[in-house]
Order: sequence, then structure tokens, then C-alpha cells
Amino acid sequence: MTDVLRVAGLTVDIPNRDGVAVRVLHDVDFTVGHGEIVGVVGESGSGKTMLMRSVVDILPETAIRTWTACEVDGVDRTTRSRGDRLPVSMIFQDPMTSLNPVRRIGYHLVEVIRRFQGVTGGRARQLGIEALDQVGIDDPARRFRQYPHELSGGMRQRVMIAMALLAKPSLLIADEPTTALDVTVQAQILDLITDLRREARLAVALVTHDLGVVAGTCDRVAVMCRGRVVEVGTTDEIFYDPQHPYTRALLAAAPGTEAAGGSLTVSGGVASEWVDASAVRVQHSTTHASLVPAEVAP
Amino acid sequence: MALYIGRRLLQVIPMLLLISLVVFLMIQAAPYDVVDSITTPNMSAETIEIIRQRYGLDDPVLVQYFRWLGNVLQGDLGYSLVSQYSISADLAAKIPNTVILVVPAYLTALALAIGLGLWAGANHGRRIDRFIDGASAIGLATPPFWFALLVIYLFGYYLNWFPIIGMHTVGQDDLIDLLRHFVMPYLVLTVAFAPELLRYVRSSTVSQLREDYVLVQRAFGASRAEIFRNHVSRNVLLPIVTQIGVALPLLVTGAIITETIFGWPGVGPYFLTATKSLDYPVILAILLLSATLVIVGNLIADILYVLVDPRVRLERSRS
Repeated sequence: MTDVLRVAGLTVDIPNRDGVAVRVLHDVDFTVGHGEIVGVVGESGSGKTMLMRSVVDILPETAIRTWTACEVDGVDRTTRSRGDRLPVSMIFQDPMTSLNPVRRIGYHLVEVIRRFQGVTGGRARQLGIEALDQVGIDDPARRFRQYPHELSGGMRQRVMIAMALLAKPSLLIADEPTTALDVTVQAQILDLITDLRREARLAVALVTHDLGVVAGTCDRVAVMCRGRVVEVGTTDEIFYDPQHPYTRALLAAAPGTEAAGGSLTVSGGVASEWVDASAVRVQHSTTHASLVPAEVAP
Repeated sequence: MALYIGRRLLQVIPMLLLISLVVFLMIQAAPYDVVDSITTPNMSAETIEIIRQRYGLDDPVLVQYFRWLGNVLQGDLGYSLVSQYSISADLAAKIPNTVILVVPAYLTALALAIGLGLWAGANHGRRIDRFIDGASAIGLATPPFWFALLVIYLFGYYLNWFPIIGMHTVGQDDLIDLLRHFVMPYLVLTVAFAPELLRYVRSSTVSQLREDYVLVQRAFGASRAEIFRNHVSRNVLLPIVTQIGVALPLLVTGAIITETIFGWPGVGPYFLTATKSLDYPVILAILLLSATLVIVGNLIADILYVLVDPRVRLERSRS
């Protein structure tokens, strides 16, 4: 069986203010299998979000992206024409700003329904209300008519998930979907995502810097550091048998783990040492790490 | 909502009283004796004193103020000290002339500002944006009177396309003649109004395009045009509705300089003539009218804002 998403050899450069290209992703390989939840962890600036934005084609305008492969559901997507709909939906970190404040919830949903399902009018409205119901929003018909500011953060993230589902994706990319939410709401949203994986037969790429979220939710984990995937493994492998020193440092820095109290240093020297000391499960970093000086890393 | 409007209207009254008092006192403080505009140098001191008494100009300032205020409250703006004409009648004749000049110019400026502002904002940093932004900066820095002189020289004198003064040719009263007189002051006013509005539209477009919801829409497969049409332009244009309220005082005082240069018989020349001879009932009447329109305009702007922005509406109804 083919993977839902297979990205290989992805490299992204973004020119900084002086026009010098900064390499934010170095030759990244990333796959998500059917029905799988893959966690992507790493500190801020490690390239997690850029990886996801590369897949859905929303990199900054000036970014230069090259890849040797990008397959979604086994179909090559490295060259993609405008208007070519990808069966991938993405939800974002801050549900408070993800929706247009002067458009009703229903407008957002109906727009996606029209675009991805070609349905309009009363039928689209009905589908929108059903989608709200499906993501656990009470009184969906009323919510449908409301404006984003009338909903709480958790509710808005549910609306985003409803929008994502209406695009009929095979892969849901969730970019830190719970970071901006209260702890109790976080758990509800994560539960919803895991439920949907089962019900809607969805594969999920879950970007997070919260290792607790990873442990509770993900099947596999990709650890990113300085624009590279430094280690990939099942959640158990990553937690109980981390190979890469950066992964170990990341685990040690997380509160509540055995080595709690260790701090994650981000000084250039240490981090590039981690990258050079490539781990067993990493496929590319050994061959390419030395080609890129540490200064170009974000 | 009705309560909110009522409360705001009540706040208007003390504000207007204060403004009228300040204006009255400032005119009194001017180093000029208004009676000089009625008398001639060869009148005797006694005659001047009699005139002064007849107009009540010998009373204390506050007495004069309250007398004037009492009349205004009864709808009587008084008479010009210089021409002896009724100010209400004069204004009733002048304001329509100003309105037919200002309204088309303002609407044209608004349309230009919205079109060019959205265009520039959508192409932020590109050549077309730099061109439009540069042009509006030049427009903003150009004094209308100077631009008016250029326009008069080019179209009125050198090309001799349009008459350079007045609103009608003497003896002619048709629409064509009015339009020929109208073109140049209209052009000058449009150029005077547009740049500020344009910069507002442009900067608000640029900041809207940086909002998260734009990125989200891109992730959901919306094309640039769709994002612009369905999301960004709405966020940019809704607040502009409120500009209509803020622009209200322009109906009276929006074209003072331009009207004066072109001899357009509106409020502008009337006001400037009154100022030159310190004809203070006229000055007071126009300033009071203008202040009223500023305050009422702001009230209208606030109400429109509540109506167009769903977020504000809710906050109001909660409070």
C-alpha cells in the first residue's frame, strides 16, 4: 500500500532581508502512512511549519523550494498547476485569527464546500451544518450563522477542523493545533483529531513542540532540528530508545521525564554538533550536514 | 442602539455650547474693533458711539454672547454687520453651491482611492504600488491653491478650454455652461481629497493581506483573486463607510480655498470675506455650523461602524 504523503529531498531556501538565501529545510524526507498520526517535533525554528507549508504550497512568496519527490495518495505532485486541488487540509496554531472576522462561520464553510465539492445553495448549507455537528459543536445551525468572535478558541478550532474535513482530504496537517488553547480544550481537540482518524479514515501530520501530546496521540514521530529531520521512529522508539543526541536533549528538557531539569541549549555550536553526529535512523543528514555551514541555519 | 444614540446626542449639546463660547471669545480677543467695518473715518466719536450702542457692542462680552446664543436657539443666526443681510438667507443661497461642488469631487476621490488603494496594496512593494504611493505622496504634499493655479494656467489660459472664474457666465443659465465652470474646481478638489483616502485604503489593504486568515484561505485552495474579492476587500472597505460620516463637515467648509480661487459663489468666499472684515455674526454662524457637522458626522461615523462591523455590534449590545 502506498503512503498518503511521501516527500523526499525537500530543500527550501528563503532570502533574508539582505537577499542572502537562508536554508530553512535541508534535504528532508517525510512520509505519512494510511490512517497514521505522525508527530513532528522540534524547537521553534526547526523547520516543522515550513515542511508543512511546503506540502500545501503556502510558503512565503520569495521561498525557493526543490524536491525530488512529493506524492499524495501515490500521485506525483512535484509539478502542480494552479487550481489543482490537493487532498490535503491544514489547520493552524491560532484559531482566533484563522477565520475572517467579518465573515460568518457559515460563509467560510460554504466557500470550501463549493470549492471542493461543487455544491452550492441550501445543500451546501446543510453540509456545513452537518460538518459542525460532526466536530462536536452544539446547536450547529445557530453557530453556522454566527461570526468568529462569538465563538471560543476551542470552538473556532473545531470550525477549522470542520472546514478541513469539508475539503475531503486524505491527509490532515495540524500545525500546533492546541498551542493557543486551554489545557482542557487541548485534550478535547486532540481527542477529536484521533476520533476523526478512525471515522474519516484520515492520516494526520501533527506538528507540536509538546512531547506529552506526541506520547498520547502519535503512532510515529519525526524529530526536526535546524531544518533537518534528525530522527524518525515509532513513538515508543523515540521515547524509550532515542538514537540522536538532539532527541535525547529534547526529551530531557521536557518536564516530567526522567532526566527532568536538563535544559535544551540552542547555541549554534551544540546544535550543529547534534546534526553532525547523525543518528542511526536518519537517512540523509550524514552526507549533507557538512556541506552546510552552521551559520545558514535559522 | 437607540439608547446609545440618545446618549451620544446628549453629549453633543455641552460640546457645542463650549465650542460656540470659545469661538465667541476668540473673536472678541482679536485686536480689531468690529465697529470699524460699519463706520467711516470721518464720522465723529459720538456717531460711532451711537452705532456701537445700537448694535449692542458696548455691552460686556458675556452679555453679548448670551444674547447671540438666545437668538441662535430660536433659529435666528442674525445679520451680517457689513451687508446687513440675513445670515440664514445668505447661507441658504451659498451652501447648495458648495454642496454641488464638494459632493461629486469627494465621491470621485473616494472611488479613485478605493480602486487605486486596493490595486497598490495588492501589489505591495511592486512597481505599480510604488508609483501609486509616490503619486499620492506628491498629491498630499501639493497645496490645493498652487495646484489650482497650475490648472488655471494650463486649462483656463494656455489651452483656454474652461472659464477661470465663477459658476455661470452672466446671462447664461444652462447646464453646459455650469459644467464648463465646474470642471476645474472639481478637478482641484478631487486631487485635494483623494491622496489621504488612498493612503488609508492602501495601508489597510497591506495590513489585511498579512493577516492569518489570508494564509488559511491559501491553504484551503483559494486563489489570489478569491481571497481578495471575498475576504480582504471586505475587511478594507467596511471601515471606509465610516469616512462618510467624517466627511460631513466638508459640505460646508470643504472647499474654502478652492472656491475662493475660482470665484465659486459658495460658503468659501463668503466666509473669507466675513473673516477679513471681522463680521463676527457670519464667522460665528459658519464655525458653529461646521462644528455641529463635525460632531454629528463623528456620531454618524460611530453608528455606521457599529452597523458594519459585527464585532463592535456585539460589544455594544452587551454593555
